[in-house]
Amino acid sequence: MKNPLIEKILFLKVKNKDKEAFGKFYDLYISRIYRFIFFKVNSVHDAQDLASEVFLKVWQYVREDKEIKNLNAFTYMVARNSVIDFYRQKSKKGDREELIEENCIPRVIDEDNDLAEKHNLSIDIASVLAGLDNLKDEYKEIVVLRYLDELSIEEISQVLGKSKGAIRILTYRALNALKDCLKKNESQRSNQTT
Amino acid sequence: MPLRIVLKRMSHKEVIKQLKSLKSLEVGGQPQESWVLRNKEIMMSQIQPPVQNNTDKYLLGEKIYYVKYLSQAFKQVFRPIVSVCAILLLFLGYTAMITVANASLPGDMLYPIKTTSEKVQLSLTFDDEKKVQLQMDFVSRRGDELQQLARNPDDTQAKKDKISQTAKKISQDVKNVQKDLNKIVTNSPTPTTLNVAKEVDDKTLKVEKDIVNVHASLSVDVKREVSKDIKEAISDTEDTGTSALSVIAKTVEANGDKSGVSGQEVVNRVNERIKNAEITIVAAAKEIDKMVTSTSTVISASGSSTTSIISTTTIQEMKEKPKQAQVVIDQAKDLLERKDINSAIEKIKESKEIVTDVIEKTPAIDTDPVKSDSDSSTTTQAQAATSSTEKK
Repeated sequence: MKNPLIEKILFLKVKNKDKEAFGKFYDLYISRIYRFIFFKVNSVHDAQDLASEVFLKVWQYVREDKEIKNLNAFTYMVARNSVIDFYRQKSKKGDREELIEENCIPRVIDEDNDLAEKHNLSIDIASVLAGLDNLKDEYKEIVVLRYLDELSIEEISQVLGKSKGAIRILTYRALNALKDCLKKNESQRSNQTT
Repeated sequence: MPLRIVLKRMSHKEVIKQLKSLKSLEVGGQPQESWVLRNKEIMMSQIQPPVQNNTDKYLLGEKIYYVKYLSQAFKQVFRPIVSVCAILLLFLGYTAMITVANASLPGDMLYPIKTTSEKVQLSLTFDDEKKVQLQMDFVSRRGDELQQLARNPDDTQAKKDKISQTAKKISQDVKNVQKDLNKIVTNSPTPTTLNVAKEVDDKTLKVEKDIVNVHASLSVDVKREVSKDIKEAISDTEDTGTSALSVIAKTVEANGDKSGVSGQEVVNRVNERIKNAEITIVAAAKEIDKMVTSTSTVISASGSSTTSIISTTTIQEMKEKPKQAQVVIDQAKDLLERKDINSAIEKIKESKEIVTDVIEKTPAIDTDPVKSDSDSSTTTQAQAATSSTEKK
């Protein structure tokens, strides 16, 4: 959050049904909400559909004058519920490996770089993503909120409805679990190569 | 560094760094820019402005919006500013209160705040040398308070009590200063200890002068009640001052000019103490002269013979004391000339003891003529002493 004051004013304008302000709010939050959903559904198309739906739902709430105490936390909560509904409707899981091979690696390779370095980089990304995938949902959610969406502990506690202390403990445990996953993946990979 | 290389010694920081590097990638959940823009266009076309934002209601709605917006803005945006201002005001108020309290005197409503703030300051000072300096500052404040209390023309019991209490506080505080300074010198002297000793020497000298002046300005009635505490305050201040002076002299003796203080400076400091002692001797001699004059007046007014409580020898002894003190001071001067600093300091202390004895005892034998006039049969110590002298 770069400027909390400006963001607060923006939230107030949104709460007062200012369409233009809502457009700015979308610009500010779309990446975070999309990412939050993406890591839960593992599919670009589903994440796009759900993210659009989230913003429309938030606007609907605003229009109906329903009480929103914290727009930031509220938007994440809507996103969370949308994903739960999504899984209720279809019990489907995306295939991240496929996505990595097909979409991602070619995008990050820079032709000017050394080939070996490029190879390492793609494996690193794959490792971290695989590690994230192996985490249980609770841990994955908190890692994404804290380190990818860069929410503060207080904001996460509002989104997840838990105390700040609980969030700190969860974050620590999630990081440890991710580290273990990365180590496990790496040892498996080195066994395969030997 | 590639992840596989750092894995073995990976810390949380490195894992977080790796996670953050995902942010800009599509696989890390970064939406495609084209989709973001397209989706915004679609969304903005889908969302409807609120129903009330049309026709005549629009103006009213706008007004309500601004009122609502402003009140919410005040609550959410300006509340922290108001809180900060409130804290600032509290702080300023506290500072103002402390400033006002610092000007208060014993017995004033704000005086307990002054003493409490001093105690807090002391308890928050962990450096022993700074603590001594701070204590000495507070002793100087007590000296100023004593002067202001003495200026009050009404010789009420409250004034006597306040002067006594302040004098007692000075005694207690200078004893603590002496104890703490000696502790520093014995346990952990530093290059700055000498500066602390110099400060104690300077300030005790000033406080001592203040107390002697205060005593001289008091009426006989007040003196009679406070002289014991005043005497204690002068003695204890002198002890602490000479103790600090001894520290300076011993340090210079051991380290020479390397200590940062020249031998001449020590001599000057001892000289200052000698001059101060001489001023006190003169003041004591005046006290005795005043006492003798007032007792003579009383006798001529009453003309009665009285029972002797204090003998003429006591009066004579008292009259001799300033002379004795002067003799001791002269010896101190001789010792100083011979560069025997420590013995000179001891002589100054000895002379001070003699003089403070006069300060303590003189008011007890002094007499208030008016009081004696009203009751001629009243036996006063001074009358008795003088009449018996005349008979002889």
